[in-house]
Amino acid sequence: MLHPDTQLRYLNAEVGYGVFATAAIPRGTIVWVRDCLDQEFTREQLSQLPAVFQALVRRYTFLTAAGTNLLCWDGGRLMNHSCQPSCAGTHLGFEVAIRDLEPGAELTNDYATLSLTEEEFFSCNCHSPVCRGLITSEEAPEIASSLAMQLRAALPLALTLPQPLWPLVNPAQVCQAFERLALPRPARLTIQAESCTTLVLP
Amino acid sequence: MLHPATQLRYINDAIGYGVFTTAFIPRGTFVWVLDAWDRILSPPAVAALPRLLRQQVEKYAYINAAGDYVLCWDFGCYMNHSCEPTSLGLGESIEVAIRDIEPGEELTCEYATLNLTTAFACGCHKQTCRKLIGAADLDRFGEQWDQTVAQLLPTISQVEQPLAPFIKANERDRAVLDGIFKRAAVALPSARDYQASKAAKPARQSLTAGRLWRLD
Repeated sequence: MLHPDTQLRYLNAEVGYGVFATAAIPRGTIVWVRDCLDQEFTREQLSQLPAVFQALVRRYTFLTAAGTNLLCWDGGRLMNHSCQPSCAGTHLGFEVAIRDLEPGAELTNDYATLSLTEEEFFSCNCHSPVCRGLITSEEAPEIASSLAMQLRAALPLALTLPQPLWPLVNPAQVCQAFERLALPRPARLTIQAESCTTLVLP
Repeated sequence: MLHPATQLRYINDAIGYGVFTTAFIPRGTFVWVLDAWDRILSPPAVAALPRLLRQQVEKYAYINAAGDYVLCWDFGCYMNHSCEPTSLGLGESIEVAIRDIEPGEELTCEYATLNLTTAFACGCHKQTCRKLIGAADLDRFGEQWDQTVAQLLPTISQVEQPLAPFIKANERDRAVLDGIFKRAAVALPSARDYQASKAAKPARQSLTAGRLWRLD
């Protein structure tokens, strides 16, 4: 599920929709979390879908680390690619803003790290100063390590910010994320989130 | 799934999003169909959801004849109610345009046919606005709505139906659709047959989940 301070906006026929912040979202905020309404499809399940669905699979699902395709039930499926993304961490099971987002800023991911198979590539028009032009899975390792650096800086902030999505985040996943990013594991602590729920790290 | 000539727009904080047409859609066109990706959630499954998600399901899903929640995977869940809607239900898996719809118009449906659990105050400002919309409206207006849909039957097989390959219909609906496209006489289901409180248990078992109905 997407952070509640977001809105879907239609951009143009080529890009379609995008996800935009409706309020300031500081770096370290959890902007998306995988939840139980998202649908996960195996290769076999996808092959059983009628042919008309194949284009929708390419457009709206992304490839998980487990090789399945995930269809977000809400606007999460409409997050666009940017070569200078504002969010990262999909494979951790939740995404974090890796820079401060002003109201109106677009929530973006680097698709090279998530939705491309070896055969898939696309040309990017993100207009960022670091736009790579052609996006392929070949760059994935390099991009992933650059994003990991940014996540390393952003994730510790997550523990200090109001997090409306805490109730959907598995605390074990948070600890795992710290480990995967080689960050010192946070001490056992209880976070009072804005939504009055608590996240107790194991 | 919504008709491809539609676009999501944010209306305002009170209403939220709405679905608008991007091209002319003639009367008799299917503007929404139930498809393989729409989620059907039993009431216990919804009750077991984390509160944040349960609120979303209660806001964006509707309740079908079996009493289950239907959460559209696409923008179908953002279709608003109007007391003079652009479409009405045909069976359980189709919303059909009851008049010609111009480009830029909002697609609307009749929430009273969707097993409302609580009545809501309507702000559609139409001449025939009922002000308070509740499930009981179906008893008062069901016959009128059935007649409106029945009058569409000849046009359904004459207009383009881009959503036909996506329909996930139960046996009853599939038989009705087959009849419509073969221009045979069909016993049209009444909107009142889909009241969750009146649905017979066998109706639920006859649902052929995952099976798709195809044109030709």
